[in-house]
Amino acid sequence: MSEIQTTRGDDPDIRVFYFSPTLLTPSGSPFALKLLTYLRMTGLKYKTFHSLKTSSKRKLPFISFKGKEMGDSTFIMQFLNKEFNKDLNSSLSSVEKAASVAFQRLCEENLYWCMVHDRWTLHTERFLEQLVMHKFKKRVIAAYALVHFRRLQKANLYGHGIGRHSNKEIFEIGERDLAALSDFLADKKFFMGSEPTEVDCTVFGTVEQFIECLPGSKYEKLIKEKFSNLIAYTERMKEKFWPDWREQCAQKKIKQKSESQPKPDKENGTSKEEAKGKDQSESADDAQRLSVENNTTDGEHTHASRDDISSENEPILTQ
Amino acid sequence: MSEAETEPLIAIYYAAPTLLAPTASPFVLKLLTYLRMTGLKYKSVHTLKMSSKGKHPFIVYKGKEIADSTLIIQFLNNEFNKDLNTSLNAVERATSLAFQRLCEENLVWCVVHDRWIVNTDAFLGQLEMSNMMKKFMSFYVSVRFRRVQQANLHGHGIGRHSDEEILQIGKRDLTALSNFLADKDFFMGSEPTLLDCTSFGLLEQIIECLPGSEYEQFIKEKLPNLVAYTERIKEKFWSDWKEQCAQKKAKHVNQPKSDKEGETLEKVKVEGQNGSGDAYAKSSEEEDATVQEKKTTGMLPVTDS
Repeated sequence: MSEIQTTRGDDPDIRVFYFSPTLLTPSGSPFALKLLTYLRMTGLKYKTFHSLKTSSKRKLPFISFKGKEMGDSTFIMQFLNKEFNKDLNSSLSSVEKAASVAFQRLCEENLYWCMVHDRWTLHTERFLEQLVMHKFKKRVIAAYALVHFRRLQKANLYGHGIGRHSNKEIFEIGERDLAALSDFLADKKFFMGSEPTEVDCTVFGTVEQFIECLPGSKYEKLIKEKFSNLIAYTERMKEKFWPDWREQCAQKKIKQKSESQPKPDKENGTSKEEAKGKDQSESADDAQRLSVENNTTDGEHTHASRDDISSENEPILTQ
Repeated sequence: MSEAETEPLIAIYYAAPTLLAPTASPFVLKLLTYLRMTGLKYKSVHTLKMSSKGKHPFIVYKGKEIADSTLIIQFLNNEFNKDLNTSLNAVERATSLAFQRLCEENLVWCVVHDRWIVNTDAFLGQLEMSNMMKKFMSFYVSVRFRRVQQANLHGHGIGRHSDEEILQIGKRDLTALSNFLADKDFFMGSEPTLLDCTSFGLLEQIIECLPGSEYEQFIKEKLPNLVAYTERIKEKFWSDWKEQCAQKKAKHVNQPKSDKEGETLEKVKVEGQNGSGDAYAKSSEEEDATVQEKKTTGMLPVTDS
């Protein structure tokens, strides 16, 4: 496992903006997870901000680097590769690099939309349950998500083309892509061989959403039954680059006034119980601030407080 | 070979040929190449009517409409027991699918962007139609169709980038295709497979049907193996390429109405295995395209010289 180091008081130049963690993952976005994994893989120091404000391209994640905003995870990585002289693909031949690009497109331009379809048109409530926030804000977010954001995503799905298919056809498309990933990975340790490369950031970022963050979906069942090598693969990636995975997920808050609310545990299992135990000592006053509860200051990154964010009065999702 | 008695069961619906290609759509070209590769007989029906999914191509087989080129191919594979990928192992099939996704879910949008946002006039110049029709198309495209494509590009995501960034994305994909092909005859080896239908369908559009574009220049200068590849596929499966393109018509006042983009009448082309059919018959069976196109035709065909 590679050592992750930082000195306290460091103010990294790379500031990553993305939507908040969920109970199940540091990020519900495959692109944010891809970018964060890349930063960990390259050893670059960064600071994270949880934000509902999007980039100029109206998407998350984006970064701010020395005051300059940059959107799109792929462009960000290309920029950082150049700026810091990084190349995670140095061991690959030109044919392997080409195949890498192809699988990146499979994940990001096709399989990703199967996830969007499941999350935003079929099982939105399940995703909303994964978000940790104050009750009132959750209701507001839920209403917004169900009415407006879902409409946006449906328009995106239609524009992309995949939204024109039936639910069954979309699932079959996703199944084909997952099968291809599983077959190509076979019994290798990482996607292109025995060492991780850049495409692992994408594959991990995407596949992890299907395995853990679409609970109860047909995809989750499919992967567990037929593509178990993908599960072992994501575990390997987590072990190597995300040893603090659980700490990076959102932690469930416990109300101090009354007993903790009984919530359905079916998605989260033991991780939720651990999180509950961890939260016992935390103050309920933090509910309104962008919190740093699950921050590991020993890690290579720090979670910023609301005051650190340079943007204007945007609604910020709290944990 | 199709004879007068055996009418092909597969009827493919797509827009009329252009001066540069049998079809302007990479997906139609993919499907037609697949049919030629598998030897399945088909007939082409030129229409602007869209499938139930709002796209071209679609087929009608035994009275049933099937849309989406990939779904059509899966259906025909099952129905006629065809499999162009029999020689591939699991890893090769996976790689093949990944490159299909690269072409169909990413690179194709670079073509859409170039054709409908950046260089639309160059595309309209390829269509065989009267001056009046061209003016109408130019107007229709800039007011309506471009907006539709912009929404599609935005929904997909690629439309949010600048023109320069989109070009960069396209070049990256083309380079990947070129590097993967290397000096092989076909994408997966010495024999053509299903991926070749997709990659030929798209590459041909970029090489020949985006005249004057940066992509065309980039491929010809930096990725000549892709140009040689498309020539190889044409030699093998499209020996009648030129005949399948739209033919430029001479000015003739009293000529009967014939094939044109957006015509009220449709041409039913009966094609044999080698695509060499040249029997044209006016068909009144098909409902025509959009109402606008219908209304503006009615004048006798004249072409630019």
